[in-house]
Amino acid sequence: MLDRLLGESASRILLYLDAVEEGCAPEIAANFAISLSAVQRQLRNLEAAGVLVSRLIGNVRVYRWNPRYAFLPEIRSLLSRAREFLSDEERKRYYSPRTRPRRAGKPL
Amino acid sequence: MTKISQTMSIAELAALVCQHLADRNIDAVLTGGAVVTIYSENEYQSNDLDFISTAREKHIDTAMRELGFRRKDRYYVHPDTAFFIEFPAPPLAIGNAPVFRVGEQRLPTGLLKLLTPTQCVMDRLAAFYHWNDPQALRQAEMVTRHHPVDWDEIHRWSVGEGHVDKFERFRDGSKRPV
Repeated sequence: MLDRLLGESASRILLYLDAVEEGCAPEIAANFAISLSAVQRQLRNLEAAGVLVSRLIGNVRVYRWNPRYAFLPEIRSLLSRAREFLSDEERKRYYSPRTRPRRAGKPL
Repeated sequence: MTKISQTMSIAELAALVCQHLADRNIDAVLTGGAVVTIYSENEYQSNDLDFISTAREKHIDTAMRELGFRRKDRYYVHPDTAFFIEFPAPPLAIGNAPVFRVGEQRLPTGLLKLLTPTQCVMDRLAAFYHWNDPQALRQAEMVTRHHPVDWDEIHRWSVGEGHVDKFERFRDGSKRPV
């Protein structure tokens, strides 16, 4: 949707985070079936640009929106608008992951 | 030019770097914890100098190398000082508002551009408001104990950020006796 403007990886990552608020590289890479290193590189770039912030939880680095980023409302507004143009299939497949908790040991 | 040394204060080093960049037409403004150190008269200690600049990265890199700094990940380090320097991504902003007018301090090592005490307090409060960071709250309180700030402006800005309750907590904390 915004691939030409932002690049494919950045566009997917930002649309994903706009839908779920926070995420880590392995989860995003698995969601889109793209390489982990490409996602990690893109997340680091977005953090260096001030768009995202991260913190370690255990040994996983979790990224989320930087609430202090000056253009955050505008960029999220753009992403939200772009998501309206996704097909139902794309929305379900890539941008609607389960975010509610799953009790440990519960059979899938 | 003054030589960078271990005995140099954070303000002296910041001014030296700022002046060196300005001499090369690179505008840079000191923000973050280093400004708290300067305004709190070292009550808070930071080793991290954050400069915001809209100059191209390669121009900044050339200027920093001229001073003897080398890049290590996102930071610039120097063999003769424990302080390290970072250039976070622009723009210079507090919350969603751009910052145009900043403070200046003339030091023997050069002219330092930095956030004013009021801007510094708002910068710290932004971290407290958005991340509940108690350290940032204490740093904001420290600045108010050492420098007069524009309380009306901070209040207005806090209302705009939607954090009046936290502003009141900060105001009450700032009135505590030292």
